[in-house]
Amino acid sequence: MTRARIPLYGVLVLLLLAFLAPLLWALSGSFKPRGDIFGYPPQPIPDPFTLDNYQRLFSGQPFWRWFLMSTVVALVATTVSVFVCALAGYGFAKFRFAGKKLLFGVMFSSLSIPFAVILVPLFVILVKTGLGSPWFALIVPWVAPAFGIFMMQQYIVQSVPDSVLEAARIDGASEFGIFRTIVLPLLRPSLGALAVWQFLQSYNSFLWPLVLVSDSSQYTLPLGLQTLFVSEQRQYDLVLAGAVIAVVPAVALFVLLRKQLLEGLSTGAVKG
Amino acid sequence: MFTAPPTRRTLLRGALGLGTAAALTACGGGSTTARTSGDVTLSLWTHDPGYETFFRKGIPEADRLTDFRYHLDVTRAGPADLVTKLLAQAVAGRGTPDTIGFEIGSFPRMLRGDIAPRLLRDLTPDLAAVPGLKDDLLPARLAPFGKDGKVYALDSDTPMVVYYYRDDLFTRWKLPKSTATWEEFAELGARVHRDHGASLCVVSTAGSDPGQIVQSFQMLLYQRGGAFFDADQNLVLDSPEAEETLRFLCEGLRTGFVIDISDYYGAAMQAALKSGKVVGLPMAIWYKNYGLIANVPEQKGRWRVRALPRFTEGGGVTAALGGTGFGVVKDKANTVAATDFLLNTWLTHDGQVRRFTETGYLPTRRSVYTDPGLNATTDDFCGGQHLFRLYRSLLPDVPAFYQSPDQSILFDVLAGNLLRAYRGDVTPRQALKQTAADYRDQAGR
Amino acid sequence: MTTAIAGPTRTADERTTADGTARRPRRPWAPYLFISPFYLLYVLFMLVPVAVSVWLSLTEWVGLGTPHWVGLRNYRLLATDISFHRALGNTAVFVLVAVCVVVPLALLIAQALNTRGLRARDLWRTAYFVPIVVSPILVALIFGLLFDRQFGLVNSVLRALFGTGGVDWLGDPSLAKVSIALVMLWRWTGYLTVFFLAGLQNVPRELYEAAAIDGTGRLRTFTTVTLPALKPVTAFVVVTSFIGAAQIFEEPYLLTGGGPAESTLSVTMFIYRAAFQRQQFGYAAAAAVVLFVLVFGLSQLFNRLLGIGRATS
Repeated sequence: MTRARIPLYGVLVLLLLAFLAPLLWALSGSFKPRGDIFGYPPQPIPDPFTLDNYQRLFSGQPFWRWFLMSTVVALVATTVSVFVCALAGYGFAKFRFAGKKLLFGVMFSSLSIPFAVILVPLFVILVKTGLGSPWFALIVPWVAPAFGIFMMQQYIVQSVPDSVLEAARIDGASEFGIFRTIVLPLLRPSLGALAVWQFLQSYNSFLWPLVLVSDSSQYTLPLGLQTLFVSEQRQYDLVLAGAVIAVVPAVALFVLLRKQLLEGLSTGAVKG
Repeated sequence: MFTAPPTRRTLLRGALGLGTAAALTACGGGSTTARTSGDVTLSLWTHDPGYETFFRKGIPEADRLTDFRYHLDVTRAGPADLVTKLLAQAVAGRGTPDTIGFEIGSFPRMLRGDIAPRLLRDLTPDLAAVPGLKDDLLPARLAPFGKDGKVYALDSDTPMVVYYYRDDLFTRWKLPKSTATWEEFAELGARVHRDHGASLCVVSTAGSDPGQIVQSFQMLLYQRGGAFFDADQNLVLDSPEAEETLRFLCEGLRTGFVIDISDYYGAAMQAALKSGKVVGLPMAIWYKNYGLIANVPEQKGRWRVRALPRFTEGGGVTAALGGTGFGVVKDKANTVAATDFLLNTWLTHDGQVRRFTETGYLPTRRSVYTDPGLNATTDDFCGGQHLFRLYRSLLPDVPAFYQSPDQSILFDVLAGNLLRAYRGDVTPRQALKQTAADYRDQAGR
Repeated sequence: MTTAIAGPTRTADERTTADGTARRPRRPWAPYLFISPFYLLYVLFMLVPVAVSVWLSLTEWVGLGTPHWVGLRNYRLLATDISFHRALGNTAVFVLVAVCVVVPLALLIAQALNTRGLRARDLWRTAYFVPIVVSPILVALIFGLLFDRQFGLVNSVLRALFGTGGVDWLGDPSLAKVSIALVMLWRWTGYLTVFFLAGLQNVPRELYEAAAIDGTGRLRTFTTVTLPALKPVTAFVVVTSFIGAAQIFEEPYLLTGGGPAESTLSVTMFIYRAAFQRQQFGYAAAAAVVLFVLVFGLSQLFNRLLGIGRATS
């Protein structure tokens, strides 16, 4: 039995290398002096090994501010959107009401709208309504994702029994009370799944923070890294170091939520 | 380093007075009150930290020459991103900068419609207000940032194109220290490639950057006397000069005289320089910092700069490539202050001298080229060469570069067709015809 | 990459209705309250901008000043714009790659990861997920390096193995598409694998056991047991990939800039280029409306074809 597995593991290891090699290359490169980064053949172990890139990144650039900005914004956006999606998903899943079909259809259609199209109008609207402060506006595009509503709606239909809700209503529980005490706890896995997705959306976004943020100290990571890489000035060494650190929060979140992610996906949007 | 002569100071005061009056008139109906003196914090947008440093160091001089006490608030982003941001902020009516640096390739977006006059201060009256200034500025470097006789930004550089070469290898291989024409040089290059596997010229095939692909062709085209656009923004690319230049590059690629590299500034170039595959190339003066020193600092002392060979059929001895124009956003409280700041850092004699010594960019005022201090400077990376003297000798040949709002369309279609010609899929003539046809098809949509 | 399937929902909903458990709620305002936070944000920050864009598509606007009404002119110009047609064609290729290559491959990998008694499943899963979280700028840097004609790793390896390695990965129009496809493969496969793996872990064990007792072969088990059980997740992944690939931007933008000769220009890049490089906002908006109509229409068609129902519950 184990012998038959050898080819399987062989394939898995090859895939692992293919998927991780670029990141490992970046990791190793981030510890090399600039002149060695593109050396051929590639040297897996940096020699000489240097922390200089990281030191210059931390001392010469407001890197940790970018990092903090990105992470905090992504976390807030994730939390808000997951909550909003759960609410709306529940509304769509467990109630019948006038206009439901239309409202649902309108939301569905928004899945196919490219963000570049609404960029400028959205920006103008936010500024004209006085909501253009980065802390608020950075979060806006990610708080009402149709994708999330769907996922939640699907999951709730599957995993929240009507009988439980009815019983609670008969006991006189308020609608929001039911949502908070009964529905939300049942949703935990799919909330995790949605959270990972939402986090990535916000964390990796470039165009929106670019238009929005003017103060360099309020830059997000993708924006900050981009400034190290403009036109003729390719600060590869710093970019590699920055990109390596930038991967950490997203992977950490994945590792933390992977159980939920798996359950959430399987029982949510997926189960027939 | 050099103190400004007292006359200059008075002259600039003159400019200040006029600028103030103009701005006040402009703001007559608006709610913004123009600041005329005292503490002022300018918001400055630029893609290049070098400019930030330059302007910060220029604050004392500007404070001395004007009624303001300046502070700077700097925002950095990519060159194209800055324009996107500027326009978005302008539509929203808040958060525009006081001063912004346009990398030359991003400025054409400002030429579309009436964006530039609507958003940017016309600097011509300010320049005219200082006696002698307008005539002292090189017209070639006002052209890229102008429209309808108005100037919207002031260039950071007179970015001449020169020839970089590895002096050590040229000596070892017994190559002549100067070659009169490109044609002779190409023959030499073919031999060098055969004997040593090295190339003397480079064309970029940078996939993600049409502008860079175009640059390789552009510098030789303009040296040869060709152009993309004339002063009226008409496409004049389809010319005998263009065909000759492109044929020259394509033939060079066949013989190995020219090598195609995917990125002038990145990994591929570094590998080519390190391995000795590229031992010389024509490029702009700023390439020493961004291309050579950045990628092969260890080759310090081995590089030299000389003038380009000439084309037998005509043209000059240099071209211009790159540049960044700083402009002032109009109708803001700080418009006057920003204009004065720009004039009193960017355009003073001291400022122009400092620009070369600190950032390596050449003066845009003709008179500054006679500065004895600048002419005495030597360059460590190029083995103590008197680079400035060389540049000074090229000055009369710097051609003007006119831009069009449709330039990005041209660059998109030209880049694709250049690559096809380099690869031999089409002849140079077909490539240029196709470019012109594609351009006409897309421009003005 | 977002969408959803709604079929199972609909059936579930109908079932409950038939059971009589879901009656008309006694608090008719409750559902509206639940969906109101979403709709408030949605109307303000999505519908209004979209409406503005649709209006812009009927104007000529340089991005500043007053837009000029031009009626349907932008749409007429699009109909004859070779670049736009190329962009549509390229995007179709990317969509096909996503749906016909990336998705099946993700399924295969998921199947491998679902092998019973597999060691370190968590490790594989996490590692395969990593590409999607890598910052796009790093992705561009790395793949630009890999695919470089003169100095790239891929060609170096080819040279070492086969003696020839002058492949112009990013410079040849057809190969550039292949390169983009490879990047898509690298970025998205692991992510989609997670979805399939989730679906696979949900296939009741008894089905496999029954198949084993019947002596059904491995391949047959896959086609008769696994695939039908995976239908919902497959539909979900297919539609998600479709919409994602139809809006593909980052891969071509960062790696090839849409070139060479527009051979990798996607529709979203076309839109971006018109708006943010050429200051033709009206034209960009019109292209976006066309893309929207196509994607919306096709995703509806997909939904129907895959038998997963309509977009309502």
